[in-house]
Amino acid sequence: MNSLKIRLLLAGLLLLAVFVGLTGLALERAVYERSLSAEEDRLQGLVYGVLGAMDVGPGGVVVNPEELPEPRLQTPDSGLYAVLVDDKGTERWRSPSFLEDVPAGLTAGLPEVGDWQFAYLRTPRPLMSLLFTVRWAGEATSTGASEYAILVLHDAERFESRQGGFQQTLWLWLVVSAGLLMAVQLAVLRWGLGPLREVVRQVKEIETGEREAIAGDYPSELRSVVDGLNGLIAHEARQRSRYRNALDDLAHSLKTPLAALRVYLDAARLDGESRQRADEQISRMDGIVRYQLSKAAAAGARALRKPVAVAPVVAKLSAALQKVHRDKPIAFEVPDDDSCVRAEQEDLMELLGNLLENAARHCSSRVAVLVEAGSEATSIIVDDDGPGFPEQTQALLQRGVRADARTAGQGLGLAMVAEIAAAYGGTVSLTRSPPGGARVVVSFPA
Amino acid sequence: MRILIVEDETALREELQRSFEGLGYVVDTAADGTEGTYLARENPLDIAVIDLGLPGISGIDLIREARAHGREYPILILTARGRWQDKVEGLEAGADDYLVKPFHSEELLARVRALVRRAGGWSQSVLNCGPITLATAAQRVELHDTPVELTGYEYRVLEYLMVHAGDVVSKAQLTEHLYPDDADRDSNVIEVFIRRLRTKLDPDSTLRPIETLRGRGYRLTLPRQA
Repeated sequence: MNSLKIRLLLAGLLLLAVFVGLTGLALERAVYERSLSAEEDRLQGLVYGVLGAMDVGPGGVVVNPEELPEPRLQTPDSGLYAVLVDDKGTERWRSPSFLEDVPAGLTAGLPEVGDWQFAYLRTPRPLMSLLFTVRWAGEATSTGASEYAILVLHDAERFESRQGGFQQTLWLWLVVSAGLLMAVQLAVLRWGLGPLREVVRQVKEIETGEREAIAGDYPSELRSVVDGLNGLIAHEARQRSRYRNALDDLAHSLKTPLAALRVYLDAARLDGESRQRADEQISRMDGIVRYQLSKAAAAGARALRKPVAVAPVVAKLSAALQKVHRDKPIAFEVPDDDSCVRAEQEDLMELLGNLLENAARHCSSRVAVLVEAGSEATSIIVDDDGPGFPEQTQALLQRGVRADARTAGQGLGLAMVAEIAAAYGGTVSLTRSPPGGARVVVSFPA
Repeated sequence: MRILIVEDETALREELQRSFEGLGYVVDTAADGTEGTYLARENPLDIAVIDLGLPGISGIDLIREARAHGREYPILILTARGRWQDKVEGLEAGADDYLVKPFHSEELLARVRALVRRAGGWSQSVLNCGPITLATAAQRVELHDTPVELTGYEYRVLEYLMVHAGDVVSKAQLTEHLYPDDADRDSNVIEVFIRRLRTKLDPDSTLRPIETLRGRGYRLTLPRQA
């Protein structure tokens, strides 16, 4: 039910069914009434015909067969019949076409003189009947009966079969036109919801990072939504860069005085212990600033993110580190595929920068970076051929350990790596590399 | 050695200037990118320490400008933000090393010394030419494993010659790299230092460590030992 298309379709279907049903019933009813009244008219004509053929004979009123208006009344079992009864209900005359009994109860109570009594009998067989009572004045009264009723009957089988045929045709066409309307409705829906589908497609592309804004000309109802979405996306990007800039400014304005303080301290020629104590405080402050700011800066998992290729970032960082470690030639192995991780470029650079700097510092000559893309996670593996990690490796990763509880340089880099990975729902594990050095595996959920 | 320090934070700049001057460096300073760029382009430097977060011209642009003008001395960048994006950008622009604030003076000095001798083709902190050994960190000189007492200026002249061992170093070059701009530059003083160095390093005139090339300058002739 949670689809506009299904909602509209269901509503359309219901409406169509009700409309077609009611139309069909109304048409059927109207045509039936009209056919019935046509039948009645016809029978009325016949009654007048029989009336015209009546005359007073010896012993009462008689019907002169030659004067009957309808030849079918003369043919046995023709489907058109006439019967004359007196006011006692006794049959006085019947047309030669009528060979059966008068259906029971039909002549039981005669209508008032001059009244018509029309009936549609269904048993024992379909018949239309019209009963008309006349009063015979004058000499006829001598026979004892002054009121007579003329009953005309018409076989209704053809009427019924015609009604059936009509109904079939009516409903067939109604169903056909309903089907056509349905098809048209589907087409209209497709056409009408087209822009919405396009927006959905583009939003998906934005989610996967293939697109930065929703483009195109949209109907006025959608335009405000599209503009709103675009605005939101742009606002988010602006907000992020403002946020990062603010963090940068904060880092700059916190660290520069710390740097000055440390240089003062170095020049102050204090005795060993005082200097060390003061320096520890500076290191603590520096650690807090670095750790918290890097934690705050990690963008983390977010809907609208572009996948970033790992290899170019590794290549950039290794070129930079090779320059810095010129006295110690290091062979960096850069991943040779174009594997990507869903992370912010800056975060990936921070993460790999910290890992590669550690590896470069501790390796003897080789650092290798691998990317393993699995169905559930993409892992970045950094190996070196140095002495490997000390015993308590997991302590180096402990997130949430207050940065001021660490001394500077003691695994702060790895803690920041863990923090960045955690922001993306990833994990970091420290093991041993094939050459016996350190191996760091950072896994990002795919 | 002549160093350029470009740092907008006055306290830090002055403190760094003081410590480098204390070690016998000639120190040029600039508080913004514009002045820094001018000095980086025009002065005969041995090394530059450049803060990335500068007002005016950014540290990165300053480095690019200096490199574009053919300046090849080593450059160390200071960064407060400590972001890898910045470090990589700085190194790509032509810097040789980075240091994240707050740093220890010793760390900065060690990096600066390392960069200077690396620029002269040395890979260790102890320079060795024949029987002369010069430990840059301790500023100590030994001849045949015996300490040699040198004055500050004598040491600086010898250090400069040894860093550039095998190259011809002109008197003007020595003056520019060892004296501040406003100092009284008398080239005869250089001759005096050279003479004293020769006496102290080669008392019996057998080693002949410093060669005089008439009209061109001096050259340390002893072979470098790795």
